[in-house]
Amino acid sequence: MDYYSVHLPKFKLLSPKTIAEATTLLSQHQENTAILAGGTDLIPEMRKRKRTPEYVLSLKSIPGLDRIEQRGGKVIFGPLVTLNQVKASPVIRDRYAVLAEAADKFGNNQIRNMATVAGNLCNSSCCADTASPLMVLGAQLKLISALGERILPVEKFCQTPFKPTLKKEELLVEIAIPQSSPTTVGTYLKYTLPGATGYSFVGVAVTLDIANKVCKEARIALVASSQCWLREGCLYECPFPFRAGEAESVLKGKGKDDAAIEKAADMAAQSAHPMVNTDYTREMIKVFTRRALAQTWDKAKQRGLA
Amino acid sequence: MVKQSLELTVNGQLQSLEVEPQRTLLEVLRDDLGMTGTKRGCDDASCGACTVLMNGKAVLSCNILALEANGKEVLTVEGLAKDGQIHPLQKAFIEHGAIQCGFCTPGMLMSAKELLDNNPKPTEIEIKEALSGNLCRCTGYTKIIEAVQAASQNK
Repeated sequence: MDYYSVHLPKFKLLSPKTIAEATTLLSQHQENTAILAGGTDLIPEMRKRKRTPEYVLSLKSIPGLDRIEQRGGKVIFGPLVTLNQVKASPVIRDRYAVLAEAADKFGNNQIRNMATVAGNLCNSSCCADTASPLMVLGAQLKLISALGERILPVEKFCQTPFKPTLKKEELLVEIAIPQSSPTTVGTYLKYTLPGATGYSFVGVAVTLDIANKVCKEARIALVASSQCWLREGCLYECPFPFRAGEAESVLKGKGKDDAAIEKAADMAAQSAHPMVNTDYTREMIKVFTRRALAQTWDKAKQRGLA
Repeated sequence: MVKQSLELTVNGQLQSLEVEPQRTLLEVLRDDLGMTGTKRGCDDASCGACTVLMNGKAVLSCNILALEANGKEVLTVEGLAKDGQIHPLQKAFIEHGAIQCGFCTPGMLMSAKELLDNNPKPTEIEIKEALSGNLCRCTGYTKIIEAVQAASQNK
């Protein structure tokens, strides 16, 4: 049973009014500052005394961070964009179904009103539902500090659970999704143990680029918590989220081929190395990858691509 | 710890307070403003008993710093009745036996209110999804869902 206290630990609240002010404050207090966006990961951790920052830096006083914009064909999220905003966004629903479906299944309504995509990535949990869709969509993340900025693809950002490639003085300020292609179709499937608001035991994101009934490119990304309760003190390096590269290459250049789908699902399962519930997790990865691939082909057929 | 000033509108009334940063919205509503309709169920963002509407959106008040509500409009269960008349949702909950111990009820009502404000004629699946963040240990949910359906039809 986790330690738990009725009261949150004490801290000083910083409420910068601009990104520049935020990065300056971060560079001053980087060793003991937690960033507050939606708070759905931070506040429960503080209540359990797993995190007791001296400073909490809230992004909420900076205007304009909750916008979903289209710029040069890309879709750009600010760091305060919530999961319900993603769920309701016409452009995401229309062109990036894999992300819309992940948002649909994320937590519950109240959590989705509070939780942010940026926060989900920065927490970088092994079951982060936004991580695998953003990986297959090729999202690029802009990180800013007082010293400058850099851009990282999601694969480089999420390499080890709970340890995103984010320096203490950096802020994630933009998530940019490249232009969608009319021939790309995607699906997100999430398996939670029975009950609402479950962590993803397994989450599979698939996109297939299909033209003339042939798959030009397949992308498969996975998350899995495996109901591993070490998640909050994870000592192992379960490689979630990750891209199942070998599984992807099995599908390339082929039409809808049940044998290839089965092989890809199997390879995705074999390429995963969960530290607990290994056999069951692998079996669920196989089942849900197979289903996600089959559903994606069906969607392609409905769109006249296959 | 240094207190900071907080101004927010609760159920249509402007409230001005001084609170420490680590206080949650739930604590301030219940302990500072005496509005005990919103319940503390889990303190873990897991049960939904603390659900309030903030700027029209259902949120978990146990998981929001009170200072984050600065400048915002908060609606709690105490704010549902108008001019001495209970809200159609409250009436439906009573008529359909959707209340047993009553502990989950304020949170259920607030989630249901957000749903009906945005989607006046929800399907049963939409009602279930909207309420999936509110746990009930007594009723088995059936009557709650019926009550929300009834309220959506009678409006």
